[in-house]
Amino acid sequence: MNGRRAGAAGAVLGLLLGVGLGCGRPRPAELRIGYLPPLTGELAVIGTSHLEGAELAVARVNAAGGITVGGRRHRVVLVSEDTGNDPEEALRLAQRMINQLGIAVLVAPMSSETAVPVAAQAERARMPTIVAGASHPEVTAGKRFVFRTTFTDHDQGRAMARFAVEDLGARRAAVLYDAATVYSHDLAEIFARALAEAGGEVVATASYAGSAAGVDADYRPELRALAEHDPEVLFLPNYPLAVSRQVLQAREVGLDAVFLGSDSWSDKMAADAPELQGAYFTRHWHPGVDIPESRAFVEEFRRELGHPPLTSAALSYEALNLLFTVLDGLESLDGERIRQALAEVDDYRGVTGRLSFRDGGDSRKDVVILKIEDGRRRFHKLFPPER
Amino acid sequence: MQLAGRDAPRAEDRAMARFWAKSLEARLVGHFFLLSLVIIALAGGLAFMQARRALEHSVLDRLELFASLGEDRLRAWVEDQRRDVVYLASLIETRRQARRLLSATDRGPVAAPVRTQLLAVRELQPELEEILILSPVGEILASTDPRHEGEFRTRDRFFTEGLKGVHVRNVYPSPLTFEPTLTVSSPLTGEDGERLGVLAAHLNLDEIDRIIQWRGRHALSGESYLVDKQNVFVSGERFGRDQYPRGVHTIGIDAAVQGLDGSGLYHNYRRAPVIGVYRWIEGLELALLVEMPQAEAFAPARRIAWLVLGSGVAFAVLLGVGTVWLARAITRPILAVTAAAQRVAEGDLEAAAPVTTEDEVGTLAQTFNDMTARLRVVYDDLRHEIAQRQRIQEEREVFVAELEAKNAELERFTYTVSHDLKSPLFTIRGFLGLAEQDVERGQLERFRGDVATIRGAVDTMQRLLADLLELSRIGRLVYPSAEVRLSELAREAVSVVGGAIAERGVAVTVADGMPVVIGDRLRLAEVFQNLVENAVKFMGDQAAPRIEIGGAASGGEAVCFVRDNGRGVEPQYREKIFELFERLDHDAEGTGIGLALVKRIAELHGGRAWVESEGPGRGSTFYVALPRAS
Repeated sequence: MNGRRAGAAGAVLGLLLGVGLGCGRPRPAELRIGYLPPLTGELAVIGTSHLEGAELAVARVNAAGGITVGGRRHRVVLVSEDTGNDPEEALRLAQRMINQLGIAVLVAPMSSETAVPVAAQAERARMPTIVAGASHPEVTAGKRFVFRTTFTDHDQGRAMARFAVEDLGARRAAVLYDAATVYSHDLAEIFARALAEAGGEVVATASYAGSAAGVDADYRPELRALAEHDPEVLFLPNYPLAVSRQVLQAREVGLDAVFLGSDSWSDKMAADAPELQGAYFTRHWHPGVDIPESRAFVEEFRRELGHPPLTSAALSYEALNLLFTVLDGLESLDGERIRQALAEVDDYRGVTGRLSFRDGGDSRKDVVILKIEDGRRRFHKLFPPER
Repeated sequence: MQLAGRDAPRAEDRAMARFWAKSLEARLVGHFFLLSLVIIALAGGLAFMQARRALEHSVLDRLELFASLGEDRLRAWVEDQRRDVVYLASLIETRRQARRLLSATDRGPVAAPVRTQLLAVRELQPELEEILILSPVGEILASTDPRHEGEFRTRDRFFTEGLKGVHVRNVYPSPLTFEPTLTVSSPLTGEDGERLGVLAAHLNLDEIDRIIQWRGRHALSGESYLVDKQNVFVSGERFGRDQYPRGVHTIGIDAAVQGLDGSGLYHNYRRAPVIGVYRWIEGLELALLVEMPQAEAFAPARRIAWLVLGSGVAFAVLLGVGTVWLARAITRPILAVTAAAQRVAEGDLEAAAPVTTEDEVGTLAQTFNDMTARLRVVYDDLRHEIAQRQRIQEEREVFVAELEAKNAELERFTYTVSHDLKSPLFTIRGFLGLAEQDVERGQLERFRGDVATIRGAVDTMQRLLADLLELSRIGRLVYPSAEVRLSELAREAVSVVGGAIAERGVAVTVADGMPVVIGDRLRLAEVFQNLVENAVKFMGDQAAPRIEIGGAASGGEAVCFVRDNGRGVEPQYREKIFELFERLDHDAEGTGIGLALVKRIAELHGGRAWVESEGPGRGSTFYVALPRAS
């Protein structure tokens, strides 16, 4: 080939390349966050509220120009799928998101039942994950990539036990739990241990096998058995549907103990049910928590969505904002790098309080105790983390 | 090329380019070779593509067949397992055991024998990874894996669906093991239709994977495997699932997982190029992939391509040699014509191109030869004509010179004659007047004297006229060409003037062996006579007069001399004395025509005459140079 021909070939090639390059306009970079709330099923109310909080956080960060990673602006995309609070489905969706949907991080606002397999899968895939809401210790136990922004069952079990003894002066407690639900089962055990430590005693325990019992479940045999021991308090670490029936049936069988609940007591339960009046239960957050971040969130949420936020909205909002803070300015979206940045979180001031992952995937969190009174859930007490 | 072009071209490149530009043979062979290489490359490429396409089809057919077989085997296998579970659930013994487990307050002792029995079943059916009996609320009553006993699988679909009827929960990620699992479940019902729970079995998917594994009878190393809907290898053992924490992705896997069937060339999970068939097995929620390394699948195509290329190059080399020979055959006559043309250009009109062929080149050579022949004729004619003209020109010049010389001589002669003849005429006229006076006065004596003087003048005139006649005769002489021996001639001349010599008493010597010349003998004799007479005449008062005659060959001439020891000649007269009627000494006898004659005769013979003298009184030597006889 002589020089001229080579030159012509080069020109043609250049033209083709130029045209090719001209066609390919750079797409704005995306930061894809996997999000797995239960939008249907038993926890639909909680899940929907979670999604509200998450979407608010995402809208806010995108309005502010997104997140800079590796010197490049990234628009945050929330890849959300409904788990239906089904562990199998949640696991499948987590795999799908990790393997197929190209997410950089996973946020799991879910129950312990679903969070346990999802967290385990995330750990296997070395996918940095933030769990909000699921309180079972197993979720984070022995995991490097899974971080939890909310308290654990140890925290809430112990807080409720101490509250029963110290604040209510109760010594005799009864527990009714769902044997088919690990969360319920394990929290019941934790409570019993903590109560013993606080100077009380679980005088009677009864269990049933979860959702198989259905909406028309009859807990009266178990409740009668418990009533025989004349407990001062009845701890019900169960899902809302079951709890609604249990409190009703307890009163029916003449069990007049004070009801104590856990963080699974969702807003789906009607606070104006007469049998629920005077009950106490734990919460991750309440609008009444008087810290600036909380107040600002409530105000923003009301402004943007026109109604007050539920607790789960605050949890998702907090989890995502924590994530944005950590990711912004990172050099890459490499899983290990994100994990490392999350592990360095120290004294982050979120909506529900301070967060720190210096000592592992669990942050020490205050436990909020609410009381149902006059048909309302009222902020009753804040239990600071022990140890 | 561009780089080289930008640099200053090196000397050898230029030489190469010149060779290329100038050598017809190199260009012919080079272009041919290039052309054949291109054709060979094209042929090789085409052969490869063609073979590859054919191979692709046949390999894909084989892979498709294999995939179909695999799919059928899979479905049959799952169906078998389903039947086994259904059969197991329908056994009275199983149902009896389930009832016992349900009714037991302390399950431990009851579960142990049941477990043993389930383990025995699994022993027979290794495809069943774990066999479980669940209560109607989802509690695991007994399992081949005792760790799971007491757990609630209330929410698991294999349980909820298994309560309703026989169910195959196709490949899904197990929340327990996180690995792809396939579970068959069947309700356990009492004789009266009472719900006893569910019998479930997780299938061993390492086993399922084995079913579709590549079992080629041929030595080909294909591979087939299963991937679940989440891009997870079904057999973790085989692939090391931990190597793919975020799933395994290839073009084939991703397409199959999206529910597409197809085939193609792509890179497999090891990044190795493969030819593969992928299928989404509906119902089983599995992707089946059957792949073969492209290197292996297309090896025959490559072999064909190499064969074509190799033999092509060999043929090209052979043809190249042929082309060299052919090019030589074509170019040799052209080169011969070129060489002949070059010789003609250098002036050799005799050069001829060999006519070796009858083709265009032969015609060219013939035409060239005809052309040079014509050129030669024209050139010869031209040269001849030019020579002729030149000769004519030369002749004319000689003629003109002669004419001019004669003319000048004539003028001189005319002058001399008129002058020399005038003087005796004056004498005659003067003495005639004196004679008249003497006659009138009667002085007879004086009259006689006058007459004598007049007679003398008349004699002088007569002599003058005689000499003139002589000279004019010389001018017209025609050469009778004869060899003349100069020594002989000189002696003859000396004897002719013997009287004068003897009178003056001069000693004359004539050298022997003087050269021989060709000329007019008589005239040449006059040369020597005149020279000897002249020497004698101007001997002066020499007491021992002597004349010496000699000669020798010098170059192409015979130079002879006549030397005397007489008065000599002063330098200013050395030319003049050869002119007509010039006499240095008017008292001396003679008409002054002798030396002019000598010169004239010498010149007529193509020679010269001159005198050398060392000065007055020291003698002189007259030289005559004549062309020698060849």
